[in-house]
Amino acid sequence: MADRLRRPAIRLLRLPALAVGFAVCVTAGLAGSGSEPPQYAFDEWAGLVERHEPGTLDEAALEISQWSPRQLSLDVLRPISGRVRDPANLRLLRLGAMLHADIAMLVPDEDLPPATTSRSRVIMSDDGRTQGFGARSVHLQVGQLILDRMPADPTTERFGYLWYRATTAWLARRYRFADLAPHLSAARSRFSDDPAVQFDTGCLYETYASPRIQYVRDAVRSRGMGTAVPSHDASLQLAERYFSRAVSLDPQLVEARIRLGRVIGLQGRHDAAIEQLEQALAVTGDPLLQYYGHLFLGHEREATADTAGARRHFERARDLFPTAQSPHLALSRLARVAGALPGALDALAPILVLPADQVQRPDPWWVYPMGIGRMETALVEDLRRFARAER
Amino acid sequence: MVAARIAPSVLAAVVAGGLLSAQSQRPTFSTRVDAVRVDVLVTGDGRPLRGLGPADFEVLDNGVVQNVTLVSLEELPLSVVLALDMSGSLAPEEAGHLRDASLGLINGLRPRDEAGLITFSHVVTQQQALTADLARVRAALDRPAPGGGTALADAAYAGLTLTESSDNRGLFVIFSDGLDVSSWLTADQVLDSARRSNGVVYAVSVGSTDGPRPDFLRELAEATGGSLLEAESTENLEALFVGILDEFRLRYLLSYSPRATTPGWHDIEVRVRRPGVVVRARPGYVSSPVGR
Repeated sequence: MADRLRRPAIRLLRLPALAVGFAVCVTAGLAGSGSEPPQYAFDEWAGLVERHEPGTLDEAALEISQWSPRQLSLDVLRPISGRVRDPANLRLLRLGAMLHADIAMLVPDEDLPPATTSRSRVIMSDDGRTQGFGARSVHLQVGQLILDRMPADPTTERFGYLWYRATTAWLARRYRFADLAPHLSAARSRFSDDPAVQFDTGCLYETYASPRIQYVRDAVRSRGMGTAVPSHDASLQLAERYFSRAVSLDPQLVEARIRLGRVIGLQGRHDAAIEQLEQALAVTGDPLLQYYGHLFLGHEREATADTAGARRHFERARDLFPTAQSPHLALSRLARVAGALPGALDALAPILVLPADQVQRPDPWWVYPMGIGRMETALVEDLRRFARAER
Repeated sequence: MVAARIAPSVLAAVVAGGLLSAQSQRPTFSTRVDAVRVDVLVTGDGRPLRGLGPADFEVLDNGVVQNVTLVSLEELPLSVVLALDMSGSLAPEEAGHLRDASLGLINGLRPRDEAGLITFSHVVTQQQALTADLARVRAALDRPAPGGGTALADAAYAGLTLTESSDNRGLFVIFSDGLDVSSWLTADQVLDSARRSNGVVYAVSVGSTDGPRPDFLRELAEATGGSLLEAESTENLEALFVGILDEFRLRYLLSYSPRATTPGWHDIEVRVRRPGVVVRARPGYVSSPVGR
């Protein structure tokens, strides 16, 4: 099931044009359903689901996008409980989950009805600074709740897996970490032994340990507010746990091993990190994964005072992506530390003459925090293809 | 004097008869290097103190008093590298303020001085290499458009290294309104490079009321004897930038040949034989053996 992870992902290197904002604080939940009697507009919802073409922002998607969270809870989620027992309804419910995923992915947040409870509020951050509040995606929660109430027949299991992988990739590409945490928690409940889901969770905690998230965590805590983001050290420990589980379930999951090596190294266990990274590099031919592996291995070699080894790995990374700035910076600094200013300038020179446009000089390091988000396009298309075949 | 071979990174200038040789843009460092430069700001009552002579200074290298030469600044042009944060958090109006401030600083340079321009988001770009043709630097200021993340440590390293590409007296001015979210290099790695640098860093930070701040820019400036200037907005940046240049011209450049040249960190202590003055200088330098 982790096929997508093993495929080369070299073509998915561009940063999303506007995806610098992300959400950190998670408290979660659709509007409470309360004790009022349901309105039973389920049939109207079902009709719109049948009319929706997966992957398009059609009238059916636009209409349901304007339903309030409360209406969705009362008119969709509550009646579903009584209908999942009939196998004849399962196809409709799968298409319903597809429709709500499409609304989440295709309708801008500002065009949706506002969240009705403070429990769904998340903190938005841009460039390491908090930018006010946003809301968790109601429609991904609806899709998730529909799937969670369905029995585990083979078709639904297959669809559910594609649904979680695609929506996880979509969230990861947009750095919507507040949505990702509960999303992945639900995915793990359903697919507890799946290495890719373990991998995605490891990526989440690895990113939680990064400065971009820890800055926001510190800012939030300094205001006396709570956050579900663990500390830097705790995040690294959790990342290591999930990556370890991923490679134990699938030893060929190379990116999980590379990331495992990195987070081990960040915890100061450099020899163990080198072992993991070398093991990963020995079996992958994917240039992107090789780039990450050599970059991190260079860093670990430097940490163990093996300057020649560090230089060798940084040079390999540079040769894989000649316009990427990170290996050039690393090589320049190595020369600088050795006392060779001309060497430091020579290593720096190639990237300084490049244009400012990131598209003309991609550095895979920039998209590293996305994790599975790099494969969003392919995974979302897999899901929609499956749904179209069901119509 | 012990004539050991010292890593050129910390001893990038050769002193001869009290004047720095500034003949080459890319000096060769394979031969003997025997001078440590210390750029010093002396203030009294908050203002730079003028007119000090060599006899007013006492410099200790790892506790050992050195024979100090005071370099004539009239003989020594400046090399100023600007590194400007053009990440997405900078509004267009703020980018305009930053451009005007940079122009103000460039316009204060003298005919033999050089300037260069780096901009950065998550991408570090040299918009203009160090040049004495200041019109090219002014033109380069029109190019950048804000967008993207912030690779502050990467940009700081690149700017600091470029500042040292000339034998001139190096001033590195780095502006940022954001937090580092994209760098490959770590803050510690760049601070280590700063301790090996002869350049002086003046850092300008804007808009920093958002909770606890990382101290990278402050530590970077202090490692070179420079300063961190914090502003609430970009509106008064021009006065700040021009003030940096004015203050830099009132600093003193000391040079000495170390009496002891053991590899590793050397503490530098600069004393001024005047009452009530404040001295700001790099706290030390890193000396490593050549050929490592």
